[in-house]
Amino acid sequence: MLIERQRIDGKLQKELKDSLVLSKQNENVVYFYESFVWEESVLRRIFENKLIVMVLATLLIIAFIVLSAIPGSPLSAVTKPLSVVIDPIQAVFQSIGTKISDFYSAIAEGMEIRKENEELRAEIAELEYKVQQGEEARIRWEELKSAFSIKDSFENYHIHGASVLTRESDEWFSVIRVNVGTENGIDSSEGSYAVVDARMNLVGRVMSTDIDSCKILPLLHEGFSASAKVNEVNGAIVLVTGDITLKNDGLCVVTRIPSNIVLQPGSELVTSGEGGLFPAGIPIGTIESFDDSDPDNLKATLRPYVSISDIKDVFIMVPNDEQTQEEISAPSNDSISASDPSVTSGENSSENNGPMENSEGEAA
Amino acid sequence: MRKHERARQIIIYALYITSVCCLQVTFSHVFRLFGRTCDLMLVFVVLAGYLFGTKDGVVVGGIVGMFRDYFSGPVITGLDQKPVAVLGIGLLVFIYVGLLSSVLFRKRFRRKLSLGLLQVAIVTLFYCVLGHIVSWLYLSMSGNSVSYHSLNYIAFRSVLPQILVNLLAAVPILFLLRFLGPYKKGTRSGSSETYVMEEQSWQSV
Repeated sequence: MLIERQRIDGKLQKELKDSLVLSKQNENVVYFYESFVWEESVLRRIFENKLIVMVLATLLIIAFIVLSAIPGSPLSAVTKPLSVVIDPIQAVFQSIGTKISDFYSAIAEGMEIRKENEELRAEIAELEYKVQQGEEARIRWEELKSAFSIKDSFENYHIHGASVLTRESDEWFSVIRVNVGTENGIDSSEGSYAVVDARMNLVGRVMSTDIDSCKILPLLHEGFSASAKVNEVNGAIVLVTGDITLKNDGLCVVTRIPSNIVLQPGSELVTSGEGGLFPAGIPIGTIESFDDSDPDNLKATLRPYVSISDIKDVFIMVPNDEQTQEEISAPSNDSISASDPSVTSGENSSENNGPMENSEGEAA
Repeated sequence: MRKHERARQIIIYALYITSVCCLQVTFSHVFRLFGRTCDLMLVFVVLAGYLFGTKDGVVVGGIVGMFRDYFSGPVITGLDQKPVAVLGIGLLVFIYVGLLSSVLFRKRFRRKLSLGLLQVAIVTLFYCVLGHIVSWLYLSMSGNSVSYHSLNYIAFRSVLPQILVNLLAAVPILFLLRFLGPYKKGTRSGSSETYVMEEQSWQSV
């Protein structure tokens, strides 16, 4: 009997204990549930308040802007997947537009084209004779070139041809986009590159690259600057920068002009090669006006050769790493300057002599 | 909103946004008048916000702003003193453009078609003036350039021509959005009262 009673008591005690634990657990559950409901209602209230949502979104976007401005930020890669989707669509728009404009220009200019054809036939006959003479000269040049190890201008650069995809949206969103990118070997994380037009005139520099497109900062943009020199023997070194007040007139500003120099209107400026981004000798433009009203701060305006609004194709100059490395490891003095006066003025001009050569045949 | 209505809304917005953005950046020289390029993206966001309310304005503004950043993002001087193309400024600006155009004079204008043009003019004025102020402040602080456009230039060669070309661009976009827009009846479904209530919460802000 006693044993039976003790067993029942033990069972009752155990049940009591279990129920106590359960009630405690229930209390916890209820407590957690209540706190969850409270938090959810607070969150809901916060997100129902449009002002708070807007402030949060604004802060988030500002943080995004700041992070994307940091050099080498991974956020700059955000546009890469976008480019895969958007660029083909944009290319379709561009090709449709080009076809339409070609069609209308063919109709509108039909008579003119016929007249021009006749003139061109006569010109071709004349040019054919000159080509024959030129061919002989070319052979002679090649012989001399190999004999004296003359280096062609920009032969250490791969030149990638590209078409302009998009132009500026307004005066604050004014970057150009072209259709070559990392797939074509242009990677802005390795450095910026010079951009020129078909006549080898400076257009701007590469800003950022996506998979098959890249952004170019045009030389009229106020963020652009390049070291330049007057294209004559011992020409003065100056700084060409974009200027917000001159941009709409298609002009740049020239500063850091030495005090003893007077820039004559019509003088040509070319890149000096200082800074390492732009190879020396790329034509930039001609001096439009010279302002010497402040002797400590001489200024001039420059009209670039390139017309950014009309440009359709550009060429990106990517340094050839192997050749550059070779030159760095074994600086040779055997390259004879054919035409560039910068050698005589003591500038580094390992890559700027003679006519331009297309190293890979990618350019026109 | 029913499924097919939602699908129509998404498809038409996607079509219009892609077309407007691509047209502006590809053929900017075609849409040039008085020395200014029609800002089709801005006009589209303003009219989407004006005609269809805050939600549409903000969402369309965000997407168009993202496109703007992608195609021709603004350039600033980075921490290493080199120019860098930043992302997000277009996104932020156009979200606020969409918001502003949906709440500004909401009660007075009552989404009338003709007054949409006035809304475009007002928002363009805000956009240009603020753009010049921010640009001037940035250049002054960065010390890159101390010269800026004269007030005369800003008024008569920048803001006024921009408003005029945007108004011209607004006419076809206004009709497209109203009669071939993302909503069947040219307006968003739902009672106008709820709508006004919704907008009032913004105006109180």
